[in-house]
Amino acid sequence: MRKMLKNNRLGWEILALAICLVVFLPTFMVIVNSFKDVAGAADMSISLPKAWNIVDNYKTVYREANIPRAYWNTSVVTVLSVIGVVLFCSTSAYVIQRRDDRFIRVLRYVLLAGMILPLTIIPTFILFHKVHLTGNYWGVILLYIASSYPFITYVYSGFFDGISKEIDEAAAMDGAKGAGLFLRVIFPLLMPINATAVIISFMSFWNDFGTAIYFLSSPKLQTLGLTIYFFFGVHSSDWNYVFADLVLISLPVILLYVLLQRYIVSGLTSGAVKS
Amino acid sequence: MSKLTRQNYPYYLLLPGLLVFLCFFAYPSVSGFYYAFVNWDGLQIRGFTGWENFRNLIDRDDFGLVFYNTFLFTFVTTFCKIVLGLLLAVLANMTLKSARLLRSVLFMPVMLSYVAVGLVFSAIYDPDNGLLNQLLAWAGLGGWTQSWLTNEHLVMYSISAVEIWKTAGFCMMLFLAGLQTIPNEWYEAAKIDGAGAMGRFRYITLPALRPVLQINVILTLISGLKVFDLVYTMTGGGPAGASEIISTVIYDSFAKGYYGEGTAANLLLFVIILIVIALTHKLITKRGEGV
Repeated sequence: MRKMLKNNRLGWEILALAICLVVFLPTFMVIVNSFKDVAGAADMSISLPKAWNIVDNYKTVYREANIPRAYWNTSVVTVLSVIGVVLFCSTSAYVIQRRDDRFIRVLRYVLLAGMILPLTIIPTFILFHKVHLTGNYWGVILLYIASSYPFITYVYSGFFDGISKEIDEAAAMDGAKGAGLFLRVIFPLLMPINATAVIISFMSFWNDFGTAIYFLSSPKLQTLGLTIYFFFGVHSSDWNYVFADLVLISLPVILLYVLLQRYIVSGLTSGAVKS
Repeated sequence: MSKLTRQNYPYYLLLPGLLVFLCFFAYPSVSGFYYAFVNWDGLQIRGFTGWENFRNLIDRDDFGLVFYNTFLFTFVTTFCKIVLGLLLAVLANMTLKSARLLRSVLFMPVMLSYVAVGLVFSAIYDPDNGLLNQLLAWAGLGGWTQSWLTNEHLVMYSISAVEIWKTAGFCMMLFLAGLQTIPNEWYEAAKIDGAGAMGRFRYITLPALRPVLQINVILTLISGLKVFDLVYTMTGGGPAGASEIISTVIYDSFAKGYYGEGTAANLLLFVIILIVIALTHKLITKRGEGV
């Protein structure tokens, strides 16, 4: 009996599909209820809508939750921060992994502690306020880059373990050095780990709530994470609108994942897992 | 050689990122710890108070419960995420038609925001018309229906389940990445030597995954101890403080203007995480030498 089960490919396929079904259920509930009218969504069941209300729901949310502005604000902040993270962390990790002097050895411990350090919001806010970095995009962007720097740098360092030093030396023979060597020779090799870094940092910035609520609280600068919260405050019993809002704000991250997913495992294999 | 090192790996490549990290994150957060030892209302410092903020924290009636909840959440989620993540990774690494689907479906919740997930699950856990109780009733398990978020004995477990749903996929991906570094020949050699599936798992897969296991456990412990958004959006620490954790206490102290106390709690959290990580690191490395 056990042997039969073990060789039974079909059994494993069914198990995998069953797991998918259970895990997907909450998401399905959100999507299907975002298509219903107020009364239908109030039941929160997973049955198909009796009355379809797709256009009205999404139109209302689009208008009331200020989706275009929130999309714009979130995109600017997220994209600039992600670019910063990729540039700063890849260059730093390169030097940290390749050099082995006393300063670098101390620095490795500092970064480890930095991964654990919780953000202390009040002193941070006071500092940012003093240098005029509150109430605009730049403060949040710098804070996002700074707070994800230790972990992403660590992930990049693991990847550099797998790139032979001989490549640097060969390039150096050809006269490349420093930044030129990094940009022309090393950076093109980093695509898998760049994809991993982009996904990890993109999703944490796109979904951020705890930082944005302090730094971008004025309505003009509000990001998506904040709009759901305020939208929910106003429409706490209109689940059809709340769910439509959730679908709209989650779409871009899901799309990004679909685009980059084939790199995630390979990036992690050579990055985080090795070090 | 050293001239080559200096030329190939110049400090000017390292410094921009490091400076941003030090100036905008490390400096304010570390120097902020000073406020844990003063009487501070956010505007003005009224004298040095030593350990008083910490004493006030420990004197809270619910201090034991806050601690218990934080560790309960951390250990329950870490254990379940690691075990499930490992089993799912093994399943997703098999040559199944549904393996790709499994990876995509499991990783999707990882991409969603905690605020969104918190709102959705507070709807699912609704005692009257939430999906969970509906499904239980439909399956003939009507007796199992619960008020998942307002029962003080259940609430931490209900929230933990959401965290597991959301992030088990990330553990799975890390394990999957680790599994793919194991050469297939090892398994074939073991098969020839007569090792069964369990034997191959025990003597090849597990030891080869030890580095991944280590990073995975440490990351889940850190995220478990630091959790805030999820608890805040689902219960806000309720009912009647039954799901209060260290980070909701920090938030409350700041919201009430007890900045000194809030910073003290933040410092305490940092120290707790450091200790837990150091212990785990020691435990895993020590165990590893035996294998």
